[in-house]
Amino acid sequence: MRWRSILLAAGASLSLAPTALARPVSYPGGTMAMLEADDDAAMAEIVHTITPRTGIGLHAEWNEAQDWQAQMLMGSVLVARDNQKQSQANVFAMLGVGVASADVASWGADQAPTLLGVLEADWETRRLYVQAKVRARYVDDAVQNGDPTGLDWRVRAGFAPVLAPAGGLQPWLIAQLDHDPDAPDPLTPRAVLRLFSGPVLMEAGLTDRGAANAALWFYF
Amino acid sequence: MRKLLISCAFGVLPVLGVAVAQPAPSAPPAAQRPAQTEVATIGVNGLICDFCVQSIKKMAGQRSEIARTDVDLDNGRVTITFRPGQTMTDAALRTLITNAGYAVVSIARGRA
Repeated sequence: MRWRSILLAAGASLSLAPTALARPVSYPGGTMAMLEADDDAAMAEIVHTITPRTGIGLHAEWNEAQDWQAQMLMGSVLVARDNQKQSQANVFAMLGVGVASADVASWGADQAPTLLGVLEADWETRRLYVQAKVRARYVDDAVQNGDPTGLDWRVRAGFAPVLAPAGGLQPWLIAQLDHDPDAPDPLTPRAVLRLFSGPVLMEAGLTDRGAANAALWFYF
Repeated sequence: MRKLLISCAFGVLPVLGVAVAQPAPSAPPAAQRPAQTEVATIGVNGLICDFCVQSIKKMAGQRSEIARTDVDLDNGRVTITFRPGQTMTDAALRTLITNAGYAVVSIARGRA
């Protein structure tokens, strides 16, 4: 029972900070699909890149810990990009507008507008990776019991222990820190193993309290 | 006599001209020659992962002029092999790479 409570608490702390958003703008005509889940929340997203700097997609989220779900239309913008010989840095902004419902299992009667804004910056080489992200959310208290507004952030730093050839299986070891001021324990450190090969990227993570998560991206 | 010399000169010159202009016996006429295959080697900044490879190959795959695209992550290089007799301008190559999300630093051309 205690173990379950710990998992619930850890999951709740992550519920407003899903474990990852892959780059939301790729190349014109490219599409990114993503699935992500931890003990208490799941998220699905599909983003189609329209121009070299803009994408549009659908974002859905099911929050079991707070018993609500949300579906929204999401726009993504590549605000800035810096390409160097061995590195790339990006700044992305995303805005989602949709409807939340007060029942995670079914589309309930209590519905209200919801908004999600994300600002994300990353810098990556073939060996190193750092990312910072801030998320602001509004979920009307008509559909959930917590504060309708939420602001959380995440920082990540990763290292590639080996360099795989193109198309090979590339591993990354990532340290992640999430901060959600509304969670019982606002700071959640997490170790993440990322594997990617070709158009597929997978992540599996574990918090210091033993809560697991997994994510899958697919580009096509 | 003078008229005769002039007539001979005019008679010989076309023959010489034709001889000079004619291609070597072993070379077929241009229309029958196989078109040459051009290769563009592009220095690119920002190539760091497999997604970069995917992006550039997908973008290049949309161009009918391009037969093959190779991406060298180690050296930051994209090698584009055109279909025989086809090519793209430097500006078009630059646009292709830029739209995929990367920066062109050099373009060199050669034959396959």
